[in-house]
Amino acid sequence: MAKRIADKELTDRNWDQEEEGEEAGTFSVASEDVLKNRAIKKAKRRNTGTENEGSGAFKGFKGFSLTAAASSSSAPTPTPFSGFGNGGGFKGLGGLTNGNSGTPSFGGFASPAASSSAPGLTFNGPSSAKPATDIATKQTNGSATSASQSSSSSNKEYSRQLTALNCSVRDWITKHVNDNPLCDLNPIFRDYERHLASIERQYGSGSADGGSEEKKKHGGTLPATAAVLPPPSSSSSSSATSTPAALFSFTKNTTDESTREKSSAAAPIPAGVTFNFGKKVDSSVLGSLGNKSNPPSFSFSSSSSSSQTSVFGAPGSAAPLSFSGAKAEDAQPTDENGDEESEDPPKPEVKEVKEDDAFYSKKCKMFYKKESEFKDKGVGTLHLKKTPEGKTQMIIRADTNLGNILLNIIVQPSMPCTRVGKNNVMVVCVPNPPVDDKNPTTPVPLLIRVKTSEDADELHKILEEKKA
Amino acid sequence: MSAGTDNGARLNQFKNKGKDANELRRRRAEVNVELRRAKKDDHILKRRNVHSLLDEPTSPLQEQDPNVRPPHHWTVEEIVGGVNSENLDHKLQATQAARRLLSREKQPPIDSIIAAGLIPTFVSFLALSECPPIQFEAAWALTNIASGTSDQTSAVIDGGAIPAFISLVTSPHQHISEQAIWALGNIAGDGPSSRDLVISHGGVHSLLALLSAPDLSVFPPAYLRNITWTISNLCRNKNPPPPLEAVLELLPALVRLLHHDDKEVLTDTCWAVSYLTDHTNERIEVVVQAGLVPRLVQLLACGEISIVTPALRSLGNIVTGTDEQTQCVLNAGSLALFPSLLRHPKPNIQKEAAWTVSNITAGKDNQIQEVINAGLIPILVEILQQGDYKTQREAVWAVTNYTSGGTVDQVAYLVHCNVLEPLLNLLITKDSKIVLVILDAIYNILQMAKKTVELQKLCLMIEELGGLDKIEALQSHDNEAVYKSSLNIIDTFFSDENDVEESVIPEAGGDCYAFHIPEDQSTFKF
Repeated sequence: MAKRIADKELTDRNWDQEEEGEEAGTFSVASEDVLKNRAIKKAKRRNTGTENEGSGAFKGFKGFSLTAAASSSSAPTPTPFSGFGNGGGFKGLGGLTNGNSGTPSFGGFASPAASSSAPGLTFNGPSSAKPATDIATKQTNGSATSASQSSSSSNKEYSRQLTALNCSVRDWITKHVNDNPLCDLNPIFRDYERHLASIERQYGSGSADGGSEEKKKHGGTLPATAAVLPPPSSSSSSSATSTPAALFSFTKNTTDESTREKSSAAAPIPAGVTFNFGKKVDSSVLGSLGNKSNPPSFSFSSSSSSSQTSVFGAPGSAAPLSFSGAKAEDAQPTDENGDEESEDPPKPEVKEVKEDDAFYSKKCKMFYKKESEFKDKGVGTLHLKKTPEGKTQMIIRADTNLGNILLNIIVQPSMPCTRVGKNNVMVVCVPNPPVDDKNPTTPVPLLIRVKTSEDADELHKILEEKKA
Repeated sequence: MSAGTDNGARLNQFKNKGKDANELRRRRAEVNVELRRAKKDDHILKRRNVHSLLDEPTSPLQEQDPNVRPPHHWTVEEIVGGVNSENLDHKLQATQAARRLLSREKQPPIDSIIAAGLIPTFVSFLALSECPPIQFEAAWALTNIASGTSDQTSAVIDGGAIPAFISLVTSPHQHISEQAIWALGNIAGDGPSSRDLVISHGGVHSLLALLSAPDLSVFPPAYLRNITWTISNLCRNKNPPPPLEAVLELLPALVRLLHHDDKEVLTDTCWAVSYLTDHTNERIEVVVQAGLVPRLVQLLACGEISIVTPALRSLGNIVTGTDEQTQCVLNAGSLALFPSLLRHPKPNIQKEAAWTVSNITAGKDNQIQEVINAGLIPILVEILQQGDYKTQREAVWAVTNYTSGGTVDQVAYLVHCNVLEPLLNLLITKDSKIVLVILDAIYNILQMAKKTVELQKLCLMIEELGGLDKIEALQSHDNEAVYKSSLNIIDTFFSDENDVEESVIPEAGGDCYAFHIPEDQSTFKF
């Protein structure tokens, strides 16, 4: 049994004492040593990119204090919070804040069967407006009586959030500039702006305790609760087995929502791919891209690679460090691509912006064989160029701001080139730069993984052609 | 494990931050002792005011008598001299002088009086029934000595005061009886051993004899309040609790007092019940058996914060007991009061109410259903969104217990109440215990969803709410258990089960693509 006795002794002597203030604070991250030894898993994302900001200001913080690229992989997009209210299954929020909107406010959740079987559950129609106003009134009253409390707590909360934001930024900047003085901090400041706006939105600058500010704070979630009366299970103790499923349905009615669900198989994790500064969490992210969960998680968007190509054009200059900030701007197109992919047969991807005189470019991931297993070399873009001597040069450049070279070889006629698996091409050559410093001239099998099998076919074909 | 050493300076600005638990406890103890004295001093001061008018040398007779020293100027030596005099009147005056010294506000010379060996003398005066004034003065003086530190109270006990005072309870003079009761209250309240000494000397019996009067309103209010307060001290303290036999004797009296209409009597009786219920289930059982629960629930609604606080604590203690004991509290209709208690202006009441609910949701699913029917879940969600942090902690427990004991329907209902968002938002708190509790709740909810067809949707919801990011990030948490718990959730519900694997799967190497500048610059040419 989970009963817990009182944590504090209460007596006639101490009951009226001023309470010690206590705050939630934020959690502390484990040390590097500890993190090193931890298997940190990347979660499978089902939602391919319209990540809502959420109401927690810390949603976007993952890029900072947590130094967790794992979490930065799912970027908060600038999708407004109202996306909750007017999309998907959270209709209940938007509906009731509008008051008398005729739309079923809780339709997203309870299936019609459930609401009809419980006449007490008035989710739809004008009657739902009543409890909303009731609760809204109550809430106002409640917070009016504790006005000083809630306004001071939102003041406190605001200060707390802001402090946490600033400390996170400070720590992040310190760490990264220490690691690499050349890094571009622009995206951090963009993120900071966004988070600051989010905090101000939610916690105000302290003064607004009523009116729209409060409504936004409370209205978003209260109405949903206002309309919810005891579920049918109170009246029928032995419900049919179908009831659990009905009540538990989180039906999302919009088509793009269902699309996203389908496309969960193609959830991209671009940030994890691009956010590499040699950090341990990064490695695990990249590593997890290489583990068995790979194929669905590997697809990344063309749009983010377009931002990479701009890097190639001007290495080191205003190239966005691709963590959450930059990615956010790309996320929308990502989503669309993701949707298209899942609905139609995969179309051949539009060719990337050409690098100089490359006649073929394709995003890929490169592995090299070491002992009996393939090791991840990195993600980047593969380019094929014609050399002055008429040979074909294959360059794979990493998706970092400097565009490090993962591979730079001349395609030899004798180079073995095979089509492997669903979307890979394997070649054997002496890698340049070397992958094994002890044996720099030994040929090594390299696996090049591209997005689709058509891409792999194409790459294979071109390589074969150019070998000759 | 603080949020950041850089926050140190800021933390110190909060009243109690930057101080560790021990320091805080010490301060609390200090404040408690001070308050205790202050409470007694309050009463004593009142008494002093009553008598000081007589003491002041406004009477021309007194002023003219050179032999009468102004009473408030006696020294301890003079007092010793006075009590050792043959003259009873001098003894009386000396004793009164001592009482005045001991009643003054600033640092009464308790230790000096004790050192002068006056305690046994005063104790002997308690028996002088031919001189009620000296009995009274001695009783008052000893009361004030016993209101001090434990050592000082011990000195009073060692002087044989307990049996003497118990005898005085039956004094025909009510003010003397009252003073004796007060003294016994101070002694009993000092700690379990002195409490049990009072009991073993028959303290309970003497008090119960008083309360055998058919109608309590025969007593002057102050007298009855004194009795009640002393009884509450006989119920107080743990390790060990008061002897069960004594408790069983006291319970009927407590029932009577609980139905009395005086606010202070009700307050102290509720405190007594709260102490008695702060023990094992067996101790809770005797309180429940005595039929106190319905009246406690009535008092919970009375609106007087001084009564509501201990009544709520009592009921909160009772629901830490068995399911049956908890059911008693529910049957008495307590939950109907909780919407307002959970939103009470006083954060402590909110917290205690949420704690109580958390122990009810730790019960059986029919009890969880009662919580639902009382409309409490939306309020818990409210608390999670914006409540006082300590209350939020209790609400988190309430939710997790609910997810552990609830049926699928009930857990679905919980999710429909939008609990997920505020719950997930609290994952960032630095209290790793609460983070673990939240993760447990999430896990339970997901497990429950697995039984339905809605698991994917629930996972998507969690993701959309930003919860997945947070859970993922928690793998980097300082606390090992948090790491394991978050990993477990991701492993179980957020990892790919249905992948088409290829034969040539690159191994997840430990080396990431490090940012090696020099190396790459060398190859940066075509």
